[in-house]
Amino acid sequence: MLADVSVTGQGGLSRSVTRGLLDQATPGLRWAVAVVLLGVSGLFGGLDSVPDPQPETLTAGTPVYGGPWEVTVEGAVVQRVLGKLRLEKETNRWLVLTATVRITAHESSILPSDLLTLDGVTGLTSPTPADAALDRDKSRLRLLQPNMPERVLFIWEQSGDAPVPSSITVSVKQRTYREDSLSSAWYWMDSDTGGDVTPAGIVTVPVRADLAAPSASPSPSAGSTPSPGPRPTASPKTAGRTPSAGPTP
Amino acid sequence: MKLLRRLGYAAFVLAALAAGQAIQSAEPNFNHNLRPFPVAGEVGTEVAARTFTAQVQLVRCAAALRIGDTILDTQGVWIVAKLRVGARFKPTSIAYAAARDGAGRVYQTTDRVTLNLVTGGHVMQPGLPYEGEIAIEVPTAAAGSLTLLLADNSIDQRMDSMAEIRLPISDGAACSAEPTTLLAPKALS
Repeated sequence: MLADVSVTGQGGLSRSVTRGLLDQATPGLRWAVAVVLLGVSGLFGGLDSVPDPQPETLTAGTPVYGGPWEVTVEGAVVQRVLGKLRLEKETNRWLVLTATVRITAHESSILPSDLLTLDGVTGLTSPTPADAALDRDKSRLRLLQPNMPERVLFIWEQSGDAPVPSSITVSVKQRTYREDSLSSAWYWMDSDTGGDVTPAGIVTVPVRADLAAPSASPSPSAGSTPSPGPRPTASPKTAGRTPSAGPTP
Repeated sequence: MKLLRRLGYAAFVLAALAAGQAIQSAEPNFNHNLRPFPVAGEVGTEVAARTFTAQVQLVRCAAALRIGDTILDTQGVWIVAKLRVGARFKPTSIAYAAARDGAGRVYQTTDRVTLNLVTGGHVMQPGLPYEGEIAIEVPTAAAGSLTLLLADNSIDQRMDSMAEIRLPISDGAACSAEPTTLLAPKALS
C-alpha cells in the first residue's frame, strides 16, 4: 500500500498540482515571465547590437588564410620608375606591395582584382592594383597553380600630390566554398551575408620610400621592375616579335 | 511505462535525424553529378573524345623552359608533353589542358608561354591533325602521379567528354636540370 502511494500516488498528485498551477497562470503569467526575462537579458546587454568580429591586425610576414588562397604580405615600397610601366601623370608614383600568394584551392586560379585593399594611403588612382607581376621574372600575373607559392608584386599608382605613406594597412579578401543558390553547384564565392565582407586578415606593413632618380641597377624584391610585355610563345603565329619555339620535327 | 514510451519516441526521432544526416553527407555533392565524362587512355594510344582525338606521344620533365633567349624557371618542375590532336567530325579546337595529381589538384597549362595548341588558338579541320608540345608547371612531389586532361571548352568542362591520359613520370626529383625547349604546333599533312 505504501509502495503504491510512493510510486504512483505522489507522482500523480505532483503532476496534477503543477498542471493546475500552469492552467491557472496562463496565458497572463507566461507573457509576464517572458517580458521579465527579456528585460533582465536587456539589462545585461542581451539586446545590444553586436558588431561583426574584425580580424586582428597582423604584422608583415604572417600568412593570412583567405579560403582559396593564403597571402603573406612582405613589404611595400614607393618609387617613381618601374620598368616599362608608364604613370598616368609624370608627377605620380608607384606603390608596390610584395606578397607571397599560395593557392590553397585544388585547381589553378586567377586572383580577383580586389584581393588586397589598402588603407592608410590617399591619392590612389584606383582602389585595385593597376598591375600585378610575378617577382621571379616580372611577367604579368595571370594564373597561379595550386600549392605552388609565388611572390607577387601588386602595383598601385598614387598621385604625386598625396603624401607618401609611412605605413599602410592591407586587407586580404576571403571567400568561402559554398553551394550556389541558383545552380546548386559548389564554388569558392564571396560571403552571402551581404554588405561589407569581413576580410580574412588585416596586415600593417611599413612603406619604404625609394624616390631617388632612376638608376641603372634596380633593387630586388619590392623594388624590382616588372616588364609586362608580350609573353614568349610556342606558337609560330607571333614568332616575329617574340622568341619562339623550334619547329616540330 | 509512459516515460519509457516517451524516451523511445525521442530515441526514434534522433535515430531518424542521424540517418538523414548520414545519407546527406554520404551522397556526392552536385559538382560530382556534373563531372566530365572521362575517356581514358595511355601514352602512345589515340583517345577519342566527343569532338577531338588526342595522343600523347612523349613526356619529359625539366627544371626550366628555354623559349628562344628566355629561360622560364619554376619552383617545381615543368612537364612537357608532345601531343598529336585532331578534330573528329567538324572544325574544333582544344581549349583546356591540365594535369591532375594523385591528390586531386589540377594544374592548368602555363600561361607564361603562349600555347595555342591547347588554348583554343588552333581550329582543327577533320582529317588535318596537329602536332606540338605543351608545358605544365607542377610541384616536384606531384610529378609522379599525373594524368593529362584535355577538353574542348576552356570555361566549363562539366558534363562533356574529357580525355584523360596517364603521364608516365616516375619521379619529379629525377627531372632534367637543363632547360628544355618546346616544339611549336604544326599541321600534319
